[in-house]
Amino acid sequence: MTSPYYWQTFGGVLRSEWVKLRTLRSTWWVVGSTVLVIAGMALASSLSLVNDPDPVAAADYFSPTMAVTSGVGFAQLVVIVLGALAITGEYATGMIRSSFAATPARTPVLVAKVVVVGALVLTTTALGLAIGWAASWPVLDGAGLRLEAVGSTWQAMLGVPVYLVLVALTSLGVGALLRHTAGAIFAMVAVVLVLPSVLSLVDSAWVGAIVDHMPVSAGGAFMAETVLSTPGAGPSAWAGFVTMVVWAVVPLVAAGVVLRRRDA
Amino acid sequence: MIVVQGLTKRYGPRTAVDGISFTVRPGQVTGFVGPNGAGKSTTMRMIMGLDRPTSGTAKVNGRAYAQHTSPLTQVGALLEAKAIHPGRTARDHLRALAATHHVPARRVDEVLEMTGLTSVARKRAGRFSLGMGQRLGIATALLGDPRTVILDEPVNGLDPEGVLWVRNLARHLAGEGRTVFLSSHLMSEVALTADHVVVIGAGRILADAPVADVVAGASRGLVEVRTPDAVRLAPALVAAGAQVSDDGTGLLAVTGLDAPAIGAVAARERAVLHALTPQVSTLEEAYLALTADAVEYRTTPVLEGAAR
Repeated sequence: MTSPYYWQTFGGVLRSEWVKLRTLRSTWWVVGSTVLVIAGMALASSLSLVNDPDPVAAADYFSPTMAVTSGVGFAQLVVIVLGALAITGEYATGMIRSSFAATPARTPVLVAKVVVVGALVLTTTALGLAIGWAASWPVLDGAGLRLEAVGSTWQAMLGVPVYLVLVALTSLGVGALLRHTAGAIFAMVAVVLVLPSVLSLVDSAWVGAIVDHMPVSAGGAFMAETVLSTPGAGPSAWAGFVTMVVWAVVPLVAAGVVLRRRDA
Repeated sequence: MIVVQGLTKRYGPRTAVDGISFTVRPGQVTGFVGPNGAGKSTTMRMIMGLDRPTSGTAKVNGRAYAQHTSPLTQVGALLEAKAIHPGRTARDHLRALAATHHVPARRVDEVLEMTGLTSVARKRAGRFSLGMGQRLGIATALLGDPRTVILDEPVNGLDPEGVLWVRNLARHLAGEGRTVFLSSHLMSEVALTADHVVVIGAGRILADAPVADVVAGASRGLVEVRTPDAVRLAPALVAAGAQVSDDGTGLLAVTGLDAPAIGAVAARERAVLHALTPQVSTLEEAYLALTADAVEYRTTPVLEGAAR
């Protein structure tokens, strides 16, 4: 029997994951919300800064850079949802069986999801920041404030998209491990929001060291000048970056290992 | 060609599939029949590499499904109607799966056409009826133009026209030399479509034979005898080696002797016969007889239930 020659490649799996992501409305809701949250909070924070009786003095505590990147706190919650849903949505609907039937090696599916989710979060958050910056510029300029071309500004502007990509990928890994949307989002919100605030109430060097290595502190360290950063405290920028990469890699590798063993 | 050897699947203490072996050959339709919970879907998922066998192997066209470099060209499967994200349109669902194997958009439109879904291709799958979902599942199975087609309960939720379409499709695919393996809990459905049947019950293979042989093999050789002389005839038949049950109205149910032998005994005993009827077993009866001990969920008789 003759058969037309179709063949499977990783590029094909990658394209498949992109088709999956872009053909769901929820993706575009999340993308829209991310851009809106980042750009909107940048503008809102800039307006509140220039409305201060003495904006120049206020900028010592809340800099224009912090204002433009102030959406990062909310945006991390949105990308947690995007990352988790990319895989838990498939388990919830049964789509995962179609995906694994088409790509029984399974690992390429997870790797492809890492690439497309990472790329989408990177471009979306960068776009949000660019719009936020462009909208805030005239507002800040009117009050004699501007983003200073210093290292911490660059670290914040480049660091926010990188941090949000790593948060989304951590969420993807946790989602692949737990295979449950609510469970994955709950676990991520606990790690990102709840645990750091609860643990910081405990007066202990040990607990403090743990908090320093949680995503918000690690991210805050390499983003340098954002609402999540505490200059002069916590890990160094590089240590923070490496810690954040570890946060993303560990659940993804664990998921990659169990993915091949579990029944779909 | 599907070769299953010693395939076993345990979920904790429960054994869903218990060391089964069978071969599904190309160029014919093989039915996979058994009551609900017999292990049909589990077996099919193991063949597709979705569930890991506890032990044993399932090979498709010479190797485990997951070992093929381009799996969709080897096997296409309808596993469950709802292996689909409800938020995606039928066409997007197929395009996403097609992309993994560089299957062109032309082929996606072709399988939509074949399954009669062209007019609803841009509708979201969540709004599909059970029958339309089933058609989309079959379209997915055909996408890679596979040498082997696995269909789990393909006629579920289809209207009579759809059922006929699936039968013709299965026969057509087998006619092209492909391996076609389809499951059903209805023997009557499989009898109309399949050449060969594998019967499974409680995780074990009960029969693996051409459809005609299964009918003949399970025929119980029951003969009904209507006679006014039951009181004399029944003991004589038992003496001749038969098992006889007498309902007291002159109707005897006889097994162990065929109709000519019963007639000879009656002549010797000078018993009057009003009827001597060999009971031909239907496929459905053969199936019920085979699976009688292997049914997982048994219904209680209605009257017995009502009396409590």
